[in-house]
Amino acid sequence: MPVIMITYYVICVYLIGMLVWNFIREKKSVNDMILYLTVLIPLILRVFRIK
Amino acid sequence: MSREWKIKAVLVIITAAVMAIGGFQLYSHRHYMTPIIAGPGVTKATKLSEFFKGLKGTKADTNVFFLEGKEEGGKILIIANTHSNEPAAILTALVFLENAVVDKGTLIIIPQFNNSGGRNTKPGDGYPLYFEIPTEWGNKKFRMGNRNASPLDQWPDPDVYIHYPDRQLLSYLDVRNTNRTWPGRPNGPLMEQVTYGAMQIMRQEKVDIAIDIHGAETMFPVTNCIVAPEKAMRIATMTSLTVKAREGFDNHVEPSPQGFRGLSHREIGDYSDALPFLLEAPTPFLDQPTGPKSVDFLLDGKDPFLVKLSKKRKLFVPYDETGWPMDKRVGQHCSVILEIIRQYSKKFPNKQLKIRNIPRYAEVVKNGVGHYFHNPNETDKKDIYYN
Amino acid sequence: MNIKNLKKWLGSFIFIGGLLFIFFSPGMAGTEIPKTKLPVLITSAGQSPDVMTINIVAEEAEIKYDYCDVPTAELLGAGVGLADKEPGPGFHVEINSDLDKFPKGTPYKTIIFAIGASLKGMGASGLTVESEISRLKELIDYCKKNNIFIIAAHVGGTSKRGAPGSDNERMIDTVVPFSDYIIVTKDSDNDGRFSKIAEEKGIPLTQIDYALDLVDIFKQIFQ
Repeated sequence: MPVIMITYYVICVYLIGMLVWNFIREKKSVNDMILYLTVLIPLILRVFRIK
Repeated sequence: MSREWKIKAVLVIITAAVMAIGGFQLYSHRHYMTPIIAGPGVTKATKLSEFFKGLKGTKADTNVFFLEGKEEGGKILIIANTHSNEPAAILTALVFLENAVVDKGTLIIIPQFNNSGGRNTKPGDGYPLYFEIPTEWGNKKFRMGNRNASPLDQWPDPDVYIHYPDRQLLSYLDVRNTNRTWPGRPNGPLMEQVTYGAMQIMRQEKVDIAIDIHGAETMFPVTNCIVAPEKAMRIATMTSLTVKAREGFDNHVEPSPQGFRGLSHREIGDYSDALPFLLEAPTPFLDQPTGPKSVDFLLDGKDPFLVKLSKKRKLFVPYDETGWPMDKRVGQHCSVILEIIRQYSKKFPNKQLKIRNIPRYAEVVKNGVGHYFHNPNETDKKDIYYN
Repeated sequence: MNIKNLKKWLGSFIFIGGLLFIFFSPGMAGTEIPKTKLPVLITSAGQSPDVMTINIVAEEAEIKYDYCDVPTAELLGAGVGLADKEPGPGFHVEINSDLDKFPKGTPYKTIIFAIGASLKGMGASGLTVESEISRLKELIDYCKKNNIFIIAAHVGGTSKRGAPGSDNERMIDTVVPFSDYIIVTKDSDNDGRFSKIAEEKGIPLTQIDYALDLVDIFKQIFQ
């Protein structure tokens, strides 16, 4: 696997962590919760390599 | 559980459900297999990876069929679904594959050239995932693919695609477009490997004619035509003049530009001995200012907005309420291919090709393309391949 | 029936048959096809790709021709071989004339103009509509002075026609009225413009259904 791919997966995992953390921390805004979950979708597909 | 966590749980469930339902549709589309029937002329069925091992086991590997005549003669390669959103190509290829009988020479067919593109879609344009062609035994279902290979199979895209070997700068998307990655290289991106595999067929088999079947917008000047480089120009012109005079349809000739690299009609000619021809049939579905991209529109090519544009003389082909049906497009491709073969055989009598049992334009328009497809349920299993 | 009557009957039959053939000959309409001689130069009036069609049709009719897309009167005067000019960007030359029969320098007897304007084509040869027209005028003057038979061919159909004064129509105005023979496809002449010029100027005109019919016409012209 080329370095760029490894870097990409690392970035994906980092972003997933950040989004999940923000989702958990969010107390009021349902809008923001939905946005966090929507943005998570492609990142999860990539990390779990679902084609 | 607090109210906040209840909301979060509901949202996660809804998101997972949407993801599962949508994902399942896309997953099914990507893995859907269309049965392809090898007709009486097929003598060998193989894979592109036979010609370039690097493709083995990838989603880019695809079927290659050989129809060899008893007598030696010229060799022709028909490439279809270079762009899988131009499906008149695969339908034409299957008419040849299921029906052709080769008496002299060799016919090689790649019905789904960009296999990854054939398993991709264009949700932003509302592309249907499948379309069906009516036949006498029921409907034959095909995947509707996209112009470029799926990023699931070739990733990441560069900022700019630098064409190999000319180093011309092309759009980043063209790195996944198998009509920009010719002549390809064995260690390049996956789509360059696909075109390299096809170049290997042409070099190893000493192919004389290479035909790449496409479709183009009615608002694009390079439509309803044969694109050919200088060395194939004479045969292309005679083909165009003959189909017009004998079969009554227009199919003008466009010269292949020397300064635009990566296209089949340019690079195949420059990097092999084959004479390349790229066939374009008008495909209203590809135009931008149209109504919804429905399956009906894909098949009948009827659109009220294009009729209005035609009245304003904004289209490059005659267009009215009758649209531009699929049968007409496939019929044109069949006749043009047969005429190219006839003109080539006339010019090079020692490399003649004799192929029969293929319908011409008027027959396809009259009978419909589905008439030429055979029922997989009544076919010997060994003659069925999956695409 | 005696032999004399039979001969008479046969004679009338052949005569009527011949007339029927002339009137109902497929794909062609118009006056009798004139004859001209080789060597011939094929060139373009307007630099559209239609000249390639004419070249390929001539090749199909087995006519050995020379070709230059932008010859000057001086180059035309150099005769067969076109003074060995080398092709280059925006300047194409092909010498196919039978050099045994017509050695280099033999004056051309016929010139064929493929009419059709293309700004892209003219641009590639460094020409404007004005400079193309003045080049064509010089060529036609030279042909008239030196008795070179001028054939004007328009096979591009409606796409190579336009409103009065448009580039395509100006090319037609420059060449057709001064030609010795006009060949047009029916769709090129669907407004009767070529027929009108032919009638006014007394120029023979042949209307063909399809450009492919040119193969037979070329064979007859250069018989």
